[in-house]
Amino acid sequence: MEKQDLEALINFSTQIGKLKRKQRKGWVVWHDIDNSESTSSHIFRTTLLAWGLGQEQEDLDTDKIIKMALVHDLCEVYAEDETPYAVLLPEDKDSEKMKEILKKHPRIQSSLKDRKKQKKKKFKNELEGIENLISDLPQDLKKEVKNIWLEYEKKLSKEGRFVKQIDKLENLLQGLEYWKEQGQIQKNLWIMDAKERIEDEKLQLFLNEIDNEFSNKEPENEKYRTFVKFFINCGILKRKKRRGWTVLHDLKDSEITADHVFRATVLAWIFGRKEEDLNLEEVIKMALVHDLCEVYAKDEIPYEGLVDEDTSKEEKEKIRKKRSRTQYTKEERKKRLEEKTRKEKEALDKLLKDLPKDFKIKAKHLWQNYENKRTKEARFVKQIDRLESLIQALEYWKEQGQIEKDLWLSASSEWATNKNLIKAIDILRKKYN
Amino acid sequence: MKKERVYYLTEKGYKKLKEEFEQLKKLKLAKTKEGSPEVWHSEDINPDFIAYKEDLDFLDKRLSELEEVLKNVEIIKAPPKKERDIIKLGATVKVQANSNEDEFKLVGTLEADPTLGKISNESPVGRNLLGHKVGDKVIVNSATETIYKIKGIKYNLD
Repeated sequence: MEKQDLEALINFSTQIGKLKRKQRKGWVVWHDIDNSESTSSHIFRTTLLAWGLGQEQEDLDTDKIIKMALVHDLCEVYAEDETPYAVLLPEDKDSEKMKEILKKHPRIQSSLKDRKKQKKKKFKNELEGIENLISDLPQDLKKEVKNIWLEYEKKLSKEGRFVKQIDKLENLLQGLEYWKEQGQIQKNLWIMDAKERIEDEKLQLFLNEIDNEFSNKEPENEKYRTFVKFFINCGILKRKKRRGWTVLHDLKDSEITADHVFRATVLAWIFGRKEEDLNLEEVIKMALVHDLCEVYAKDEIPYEGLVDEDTSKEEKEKIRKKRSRTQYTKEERKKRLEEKTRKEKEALDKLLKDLPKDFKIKAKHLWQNYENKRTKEARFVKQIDRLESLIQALEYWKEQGQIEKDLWLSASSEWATNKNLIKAIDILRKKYN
Repeated sequence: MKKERVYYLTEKGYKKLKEEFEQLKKLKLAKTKEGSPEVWHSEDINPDFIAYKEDLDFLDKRLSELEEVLKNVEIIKAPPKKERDIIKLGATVKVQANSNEDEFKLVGTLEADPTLGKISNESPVGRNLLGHKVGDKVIVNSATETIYKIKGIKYNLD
């Protein structure tokens, strides 16, 4: 790839990284939810849902729906994330008034004219948002992202109509999770709204099982109930902080696993698309599953055992200054790695165990290949995982310090073997000089 | 053999898609035939379709999607007078749901937009309401039951 294109990809990565901190407006403004999800973690689970439930469909292009789920909310880097209630927001933002509004469907509380106006405005803002975000991308990628986004937004294809429903289902799942944890959500109204929107027969089975699960009812369809449980479990990654940033670096407001997976998956796509000997669909799916084991397994850091929550700041700084590798014997490293792999494998098996065979085998196969670096796709995604962490580390360095920038950059010369990724790291080195 | 899907559209919805199809065909012709650049500037082209002119592949995909839809389309028509007390596709239904008054129209998947009061006949709500009359109580069943009391039915398909 040309330097100019790589620079554009790096800038794009930084921009979409903003979605890790962008809390979804509905939860914050309207529902007053504590510690609510980021846009990127919504995208993460939507993409997983799109893949898992999409492969149950006969005539959908899975590659496209995964990409569509990944881009569907990227416009929110720039555009406001408006809910259908936006048109009803009282000027004084009185919380009692807002609670009353939330008890009824927005449709019956506003005029058709206002709703049409709001819809038009929302589309205009989002279109501007996505165009702004992709303006410097290489031409082919720019076209692809814009077209997929339009297909979704305007429901121009069966894939677009499918992902619209998936987006709704992820939102419903999250809404009901908050209802269970914190109240504040009108469960019946949310389910009623979904029953107006979910048209696909199989997705209706899934919707029914969401309802059964949150109403403590027996399953009517075992297969879709296991999917519901699986996606609820994956929701743990929407809350799980990545330990390296908190334990070793004491960073404030640091990312969660779902945030990292979201950006790693996008990076896998945009950097992988020009690698002719790679199967891009496999690369993207592998990035999506690479940290699923962390639903149950501990997110082990390379400095495990040397540092914990009680270690003093000074001590942590001392530890961070040296490569983790140099602080263990070869035997210790080997043993630790074996133990980590074993635990993660057990965790993944536990997570996938009840899922339909087809999906279970695919997800497990991808994860194992990744873990063992068995295929060229796996070796590429391993580097993407590290590239994402490196970009994140440099962003934190710029914002908060507490990162051994030079150590991070010099370590990259050991793991990066892909030509384009090496060039991309060079660009990062200059950008964060 | 795979069963073709039927796309139900209102007359207005059909005209809109047909217009899009014709315009995109024109764009395709201009894109593939040399010497017709004036079509890009033609006032006949709806600005909504300009996005397609940038990308032939995107244009082709949309054209084939539209072709499939238009091949399998069924126009929603108001039923004969004596059947207008029954909820069919195209009906605007007044209901009471969860003690709230509400009104929406039943349409096919391509025109559905619940926020704007258009509910798909393939959704659980749409599917369950079809065939009912004023005074009926329709239960959309699942663990969380929703009851719709039908208060009025009208057909306004212009």
